Amino acid sequence: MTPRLTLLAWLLIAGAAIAAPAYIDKLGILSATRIVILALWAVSLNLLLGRTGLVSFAHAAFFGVGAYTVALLWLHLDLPAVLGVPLSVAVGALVAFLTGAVALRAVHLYFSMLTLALSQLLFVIAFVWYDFTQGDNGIHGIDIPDVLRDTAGSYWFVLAVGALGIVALWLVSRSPFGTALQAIRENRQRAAFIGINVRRYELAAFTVAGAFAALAGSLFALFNRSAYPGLMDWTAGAQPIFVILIGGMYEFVGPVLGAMVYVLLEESVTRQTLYSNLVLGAVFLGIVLLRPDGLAGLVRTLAGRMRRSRLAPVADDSLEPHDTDQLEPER
Amino acid sequence: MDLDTLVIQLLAGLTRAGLLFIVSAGLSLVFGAMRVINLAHGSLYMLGAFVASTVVATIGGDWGLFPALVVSAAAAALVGSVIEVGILRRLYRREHLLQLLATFAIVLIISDIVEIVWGTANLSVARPAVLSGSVPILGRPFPTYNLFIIAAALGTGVALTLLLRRTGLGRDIRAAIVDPEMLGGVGVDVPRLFTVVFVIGSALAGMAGAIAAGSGAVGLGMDVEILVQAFAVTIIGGLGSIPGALVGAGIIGVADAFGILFLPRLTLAIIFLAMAIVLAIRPSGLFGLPERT
Amino acid sequence: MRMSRTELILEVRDVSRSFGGFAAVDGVSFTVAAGERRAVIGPNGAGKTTLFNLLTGLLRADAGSVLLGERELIGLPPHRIASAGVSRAFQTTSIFPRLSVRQNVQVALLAAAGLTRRVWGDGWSQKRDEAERILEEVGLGTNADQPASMLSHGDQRAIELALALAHRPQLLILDEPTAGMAPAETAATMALIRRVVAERSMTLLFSEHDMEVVFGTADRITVMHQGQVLTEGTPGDVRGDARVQEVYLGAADVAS
Repeated sequence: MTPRLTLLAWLLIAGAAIAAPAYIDKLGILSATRIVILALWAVSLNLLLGRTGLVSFAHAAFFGVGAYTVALLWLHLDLPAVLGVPLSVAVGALVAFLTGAVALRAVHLYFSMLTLALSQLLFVIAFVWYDFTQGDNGIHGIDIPDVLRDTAGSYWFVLAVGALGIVALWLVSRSPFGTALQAIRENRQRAAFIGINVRRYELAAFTVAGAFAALAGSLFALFNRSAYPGLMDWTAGAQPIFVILIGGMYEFVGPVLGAMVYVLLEESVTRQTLYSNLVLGAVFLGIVLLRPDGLAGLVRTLAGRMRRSRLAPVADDSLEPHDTDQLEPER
Repeated sequence: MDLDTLVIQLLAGLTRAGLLFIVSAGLSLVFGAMRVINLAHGSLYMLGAFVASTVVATIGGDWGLFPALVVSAAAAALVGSVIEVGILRRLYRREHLLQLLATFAIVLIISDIVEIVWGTANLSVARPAVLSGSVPILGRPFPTYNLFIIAAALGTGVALTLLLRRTGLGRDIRAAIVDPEMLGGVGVDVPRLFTVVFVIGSALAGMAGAIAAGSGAVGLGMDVEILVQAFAVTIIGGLGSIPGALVGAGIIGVADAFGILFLPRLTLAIIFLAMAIVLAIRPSGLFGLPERT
Repeated sequence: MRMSRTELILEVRDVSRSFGGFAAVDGVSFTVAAGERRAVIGPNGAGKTTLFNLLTGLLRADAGSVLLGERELIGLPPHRIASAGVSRAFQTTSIFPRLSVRQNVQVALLAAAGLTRRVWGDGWSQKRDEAERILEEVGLGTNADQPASMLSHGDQRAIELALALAHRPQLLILDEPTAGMAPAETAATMALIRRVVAERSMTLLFSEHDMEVVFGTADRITVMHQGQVLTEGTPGDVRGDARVQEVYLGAADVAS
């Protein structure tokens, strides 16, 4: 696709998204809003997962931090909740930086376990510090401006902020910094030997990712008008991971596609059966086993096959993700 | 606080530690030998508890729990073997993340299956008559069942240690823990070894579930509740180390018991803090081997 | 472009490293002159790889010092040593598998130029030409777009070499560059290395098991045994040294 065609395609998509309240019903717009929030959250996680190769369980905690920023601003300081949106980026960045500084002292499995432990600490704090956070009850009924009480209005607000966030992440992802992250993902040790200060870059990525997860959380708090500890529990963090899995972790746009599929899938499943865990679990298992590079990977493979079928037949080079922990050249 | 209360609390902590140890030992072996984070371990524990409730209800409460221990372990082992052979085996050459996600998907599946089969209500399981009642310790009544739990934990520890140190299988497992890459090179049938380890781990989880069933209510949510604590124990004690799991379980169990007394709301936080500290300072845990970068 | 070559030497002084009581490297000292091609040989377990790990920052030395010109390398993390002018290729091929061949070199160039700090701009569009020039130099000009993991073992070693060159190092450290290669491949690889080293006026430090390779490429040889330097000299000196022959008795001096 030429750059001009790509730009045109994106303009069309943007137009369709903005005009959505005109042709989609109220329930659909609510779903669309959910999709944008989830997409932002998942794209921020993918900066770590897909780009840098860091499996972090802390992303639910940062999401929750963003939600609580909005809620606490309103609850304790009596300030407009909307201010929490830009503020959440700073708060999220700070919390992520501190968490990452500790968590990144370890690598691989241990790093992941550390992110779990640290984020659970945050969850417990939210749960237990009743005077500050209202504990298990959560904070509800957050006051929002009238324009956001309207379904379309809140959708447009979320869309605008979400799109800004995703574009910012896109810029970071494709920058030279992003190439260094990919090198780290591919071969951490080698990346150090070509001159990259791996820890520092990982911490930077972790901080940025956390900041935008918090941004997504702040949008959630405005949209749902509430914040509660359950948002921060590590099992909630499985959501963006599955979104990334569905959409594909090696393409930037993957998590966006994944968010669409996930929300629609989840909503239709919960409408039809009580046992949504069973169905969703089976679907995810299927994806893990059969199509781990997700939708975007599928598209890429198909596009590659189409391209090659016009030339001489060549061996299939669909990139199967392989174990990056050990490199075996004779595989 | 007087000495008597101290001792009683300590014993309560050891009871909790005992149960945690049995669960964590299985998790630690799988984690250590296969480098798999098996999130479904808690689900197998929960499955064991529910199966035990059915067995006890069928046979009768007077001694029904004893066969339940075996049945639960077997059921969990069976499910575990299906998981390993049918699912995990296909993912070993792939990213660790995919194995993790697969086990998480299995958590979802099992939790709903349990709900479908047993419903949502909490169930209670009758203890065997011989284990009911209490034993006076320092003048205070201490539940006999708790002593059973501690004994079961010690027995499990001894059995596992003997397995690891005195058998060929145990030698292979220890080799896997130390250097997974060398395994194939020294002529070990790796797929079979992995299946055996996973089945052992699953059986331990199931048996622990049955024991827990006799101790209190059986309900949904048991899977996640035990999982994080088991991970904390495994991390603190070190991957693949039975003594480590013992020490880790002891620390967590006792901290839990005393924490509930003094800082009830922060007990959980303390556990996570301990986990984080160990990971940050000595990631391989108290007894584990240093991880190669 | 850079300071006079005659000033550049590598000075290893009394470097030691033990692992739980076992001295893998024990008081090793030697110097390498600018532009020299130095081989480090010794039977398995002599400490060659540990020594290289110490020189490139992968391991921390217990004692001693390593000077690159005026600069102390001991204590520097690997990424600092890379920017100090030392580049290393590994015994087990270590590249970026899912990135294309060109991307492998590009990211090394971006890192070398300090551009990886930038969070704006299109990363993969930068340093393309320079990457392609280096790929031509190592004979990989035609495969630039292929994922690096799909290349043959020998070609992957060439990528490794390309990565090492991206920093324009003064000192190139190669750990068993021809390990696992058939004789024809070995000859081609060493010819490539010699050419590249000469064209760029680099200093070369390499370890090898294949004696033909060593004698065909090295100006001077340092022989290690049980963590210490046994002897040092020209290929002729070393070939005729009785102690060296004794140390290799039973460990045949053939290609690995």
